[in-house]
Amino acid sequence: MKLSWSTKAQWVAALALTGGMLALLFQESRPPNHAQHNEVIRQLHEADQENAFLIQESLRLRMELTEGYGRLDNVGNKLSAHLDLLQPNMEIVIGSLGDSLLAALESLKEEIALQREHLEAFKVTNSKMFGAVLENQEFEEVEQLVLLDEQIHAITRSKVSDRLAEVLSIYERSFMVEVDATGLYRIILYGWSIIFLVALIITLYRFRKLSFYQEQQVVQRTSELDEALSSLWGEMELATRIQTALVPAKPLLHGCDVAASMFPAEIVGGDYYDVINVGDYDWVLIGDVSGHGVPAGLIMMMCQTAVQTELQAHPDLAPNVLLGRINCTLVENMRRLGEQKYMTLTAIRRDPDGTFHFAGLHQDLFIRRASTQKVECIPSTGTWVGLMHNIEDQLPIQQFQLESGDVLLLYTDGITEAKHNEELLNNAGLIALLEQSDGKTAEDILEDILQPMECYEIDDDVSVIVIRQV
Amino acid sequence: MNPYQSEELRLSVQADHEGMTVRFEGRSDRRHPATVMQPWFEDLVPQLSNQRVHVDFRSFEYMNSSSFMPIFQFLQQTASTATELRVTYDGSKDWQRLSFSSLSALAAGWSNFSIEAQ
Repeated sequence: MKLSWSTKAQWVAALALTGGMLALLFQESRPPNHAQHNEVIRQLHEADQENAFLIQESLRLRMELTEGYGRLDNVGNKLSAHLDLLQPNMEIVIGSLGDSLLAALESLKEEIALQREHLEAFKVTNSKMFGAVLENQEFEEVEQLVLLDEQIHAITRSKVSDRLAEVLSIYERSFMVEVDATGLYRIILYGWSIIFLVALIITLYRFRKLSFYQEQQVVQRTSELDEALSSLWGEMELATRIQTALVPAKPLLHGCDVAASMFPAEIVGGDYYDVINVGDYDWVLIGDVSGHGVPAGLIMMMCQTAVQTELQAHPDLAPNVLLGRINCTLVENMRRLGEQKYMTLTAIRRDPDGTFHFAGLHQDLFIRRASTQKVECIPSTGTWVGLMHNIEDQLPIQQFQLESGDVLLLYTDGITEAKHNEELLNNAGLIALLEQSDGKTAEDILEDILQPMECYEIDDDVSVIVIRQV
Repeated sequence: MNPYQSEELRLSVQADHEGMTVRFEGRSDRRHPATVMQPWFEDLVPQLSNQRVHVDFRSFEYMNSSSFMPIFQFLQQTASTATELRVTYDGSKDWQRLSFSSLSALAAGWSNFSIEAQ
């Protein structure tokens, strides 16, 4: 599948966004800033320590204030008589305690019975006011008042309020940092999710289009392949017809009743048989090319052509000489083809006097003798063709005769290696079938042999020739 | 050398005081048996060089026609490098009798070769 650049870019963007989002989700569980967080923690820890200090300070303040208020009650009473001297713009000292400190001390209010109204009454304490008071009061009372002012100053200027404010600030800052960080990341997360979804939708749409285009291409290619396959099958069927046409439809042999059949295991087979009547001689050839399929079928056709050519020119050749010449042709052709094959081949020549001469290594020849009703086995000897040059000397000639009623059976190993319940038919099984052929025609004998094969598993080409001496 | 072992075929080699013995056991009925046999033979042939070699087919139950060529080539190569090559087969098996009959004829020119049905 070939993707366009835009599709690739979309995929890269989508993958990057996904990766980023996953990284973000992972990162969200961690604090946004380690240093900042650690600082906040450190400050909170310090604040806790300061809180302990504050409690102590507050208790001390309570004692001092209680003591001071006791005295202030008296002073207040006296000052109240001079309220007309107070000015609105006078500096407020006690009020500088601030809301933070007051809030912090709120919990202590009940305990120390803080009377705010008393403090309100003493908001006016500056040196001018004291000067004014001084002119009209006894020295002792003024001295007490100045002393109280200094105490309150000392208290309010202590670090208590500053630290409370600081604690508040720390808590506020920490909270704000967390809120800010969470908000920022949520925004990024949502943003990326939206971008990712858009990219995903676009990509899926593109894929849908691409898939539709490819489906169309597959349909087109399938159609082309079907056409090519149909053409090829047509040619294979032609090859089958050629091979079938090369074997004799109704083989004839002087003084004999002949029946033959060939079933290729595949479209084209490697089995070969032929019955050739040329001059005063009748020739019967049977063989099997190693392997299966088209290469074996081609070699079989080469062999058939070479045999026909040789015998048409030289009907009286000795069988081993014929095979020697066929071998030369096959060795050379297979060398050119680069094929590593060979062929079992037996050539049988029936002379005018009825004597059969044969040569070539194929399968054993079976002759059912009418006189004994037993099957005689004549082993074929020699060697196979197509493997090496100059094999004539390795091909001894044998001979036999058929009496009236005798049956000669020629076959390929496709039938002896047929299996039933994992058992091979073997030579013995074929001999047993042949033995039951008493008085039957060649066609019936062939039928008796092939009919049981319907129950057999056959992996190879099968060829059978039945020759019954009349 | 490790034997070749498949579900249906076993090829093995063993050294003894008489030399090296190569055994074929089981069945060879693949469509292209050379693809499994040849690599094993290529490793084996150098080890058989200058040795007395016995190739034992007696436990070889069956081989199809396509199996003969790689075996024939293996024997041909072994015969050219081994000091002696002896082949034994089971003469009671029809296919062995035919196959090794042909081999016997083909190997007629191999000086250090002998074949025997047992």
